[in-house]
Amino acid sequence: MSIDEAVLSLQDVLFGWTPGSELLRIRAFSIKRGQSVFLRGPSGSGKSTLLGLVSGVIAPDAGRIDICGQDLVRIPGSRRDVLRADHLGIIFQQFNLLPYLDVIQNVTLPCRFSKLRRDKAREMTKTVTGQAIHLAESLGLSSADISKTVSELSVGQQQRVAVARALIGGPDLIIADEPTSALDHKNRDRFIEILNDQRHRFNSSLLFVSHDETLSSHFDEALDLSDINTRAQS
Amino acid sequence: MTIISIATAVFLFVAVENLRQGARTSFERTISDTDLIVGARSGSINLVLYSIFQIGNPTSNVTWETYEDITKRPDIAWTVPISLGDSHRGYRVIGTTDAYFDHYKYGDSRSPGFRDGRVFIDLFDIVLGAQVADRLDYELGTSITLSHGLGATSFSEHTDKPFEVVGILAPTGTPLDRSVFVSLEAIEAIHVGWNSGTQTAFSRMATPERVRNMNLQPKSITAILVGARSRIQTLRIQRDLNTYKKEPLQAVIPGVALSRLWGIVSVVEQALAAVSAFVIAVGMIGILTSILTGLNERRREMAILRSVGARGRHIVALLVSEAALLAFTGAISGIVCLYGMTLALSPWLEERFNIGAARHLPGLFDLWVVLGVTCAAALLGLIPAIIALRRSLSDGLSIRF
Repeated sequence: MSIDEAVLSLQDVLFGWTPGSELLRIRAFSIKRGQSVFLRGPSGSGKSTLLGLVSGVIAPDAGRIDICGQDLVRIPGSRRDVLRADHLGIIFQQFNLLPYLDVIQNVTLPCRFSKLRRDKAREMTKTVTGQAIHLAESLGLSSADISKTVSELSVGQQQRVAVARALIGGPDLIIADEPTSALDHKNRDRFIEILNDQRHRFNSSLLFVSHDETLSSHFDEALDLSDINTRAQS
Repeated sequence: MTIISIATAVFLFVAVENLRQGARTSFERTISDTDLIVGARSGSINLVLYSIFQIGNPTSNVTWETYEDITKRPDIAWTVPISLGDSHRGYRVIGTTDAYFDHYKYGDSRSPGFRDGRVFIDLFDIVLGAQVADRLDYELGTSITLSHGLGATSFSEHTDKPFEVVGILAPTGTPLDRSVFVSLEAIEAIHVGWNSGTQTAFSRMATPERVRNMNLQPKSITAILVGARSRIQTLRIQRDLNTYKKEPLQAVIPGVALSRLWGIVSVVEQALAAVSAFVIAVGMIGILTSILTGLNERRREMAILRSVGARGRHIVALLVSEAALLAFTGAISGIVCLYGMTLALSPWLEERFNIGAARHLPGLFDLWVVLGVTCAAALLGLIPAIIALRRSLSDGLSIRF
């Protein structure tokens, strides 16, 4: 794989929640391997919808969405689920974790659904659990934190667990949907630094969506959703 | 909460089933090896009820001549006469011969054994059923009197002729436990000088000593237990006796009458089973609603699972197995509670209701109930599962709370 290869590329993607009402029209948009892209836009501008499209949970009305060279739109749903499990790590705004699982179980969750990521995680450390502990610790969680139940963790700690989960098994693309909106300013910058540090180790790309422009300096490229959404311009 | 409701439902369902089976077996075990019961013409169920179960009252009697006639038949192996009509503190007195203890069989051809003592020999000897002795705290040698009539309290007591307890039967789990046995002659003896159920002046002169010297052969008896020489002849004997010329008789085959009787009882039993089935159904709906109401709060959970690569079938499997697990836990705890209670209460149950054969250990039936409940819940779990799946598709990964 060349460095320039696109991990994600969208072509002529069209989407509206109801027929006739168009929300997104994206002629071309791509993210290269290892690249981090900051995408900003006010709420309601279609950011989350775009993430739904990219992760293959929502199907576009037209167009092509490639993840690592595979067209999400034209493969059956079960293959899409596999593709998502194998290549994407997703971080939400808040409440990323399943309360009935412990920290390590939460981190290793993607490895249960993806053989590829399970094998990759084992390559680095012998066991998936070992990799989970290693990741959690390099994200600044103490072993005391790791043995806590999820609900005992602070919001910032929870978000770090979410990052560990997104990173385990080195997925090609990390999608982060306003992951810092629940954090205070100091934690916000720290969080993004840690996220960037760790993803470099896996050479994962990052698509970071937020309405907070002050964060844009941390990324290779910063875009406004209206830059790529031609519908909004017309 | 849902688990408790399922547990209660399964508890009830299996309890009803066990009681039913217990009742049925103890019912069917009441009499065996008797080919025919003969009495005055009434109803066949009535005849079995008063002669064996000691429920209801005999209508009229069979004369002693008829009894002798029947006994003389060559195709008959044995006969046991029964004379009813008296009681002791609510327990019925059976006037009979010592042949009763040889020929009356219950369960798998078991004879009622003696726990203490022996058969009546003397005119004023009396044998007690196990329960009678236990309840009234009688032992061998206790002197008791009989009352006229079958009620618990009687106004005409045979106080002038006391009996001595000479034998106590081992418990059988049949109406025998609640009976008192004396010889036919004793029944005659206590009624010397009685006329139509009331004492006459003459009876006061009939002291026990005098009575001993009288002819005490009864003029009539209530019913006769009959054993045929061969089973095949039973039907012919029955027909002969039902068309007996000298007086109207009725001969019934106990098994036939018992199953007819059970047919009547089983309506109640089916109603009970239906009720408990409904209880289970309600419990199921409880599971369904609890999962459905929880579903809204779990949209996030579903989204997280989808985001880490869970497929549709994982979501479905999660919710279905959740429903199944709830039902399974409920059913198992219901069964465990039931058998715990059965173990604790069975001595009391046996004594109180004579339901001795109720199962004490879980069996195949319980396994099927647990399995059925679990499968039904899993099937119901498909409903929230499909709703969740649809929703997770339309929600995408963009849920905000």
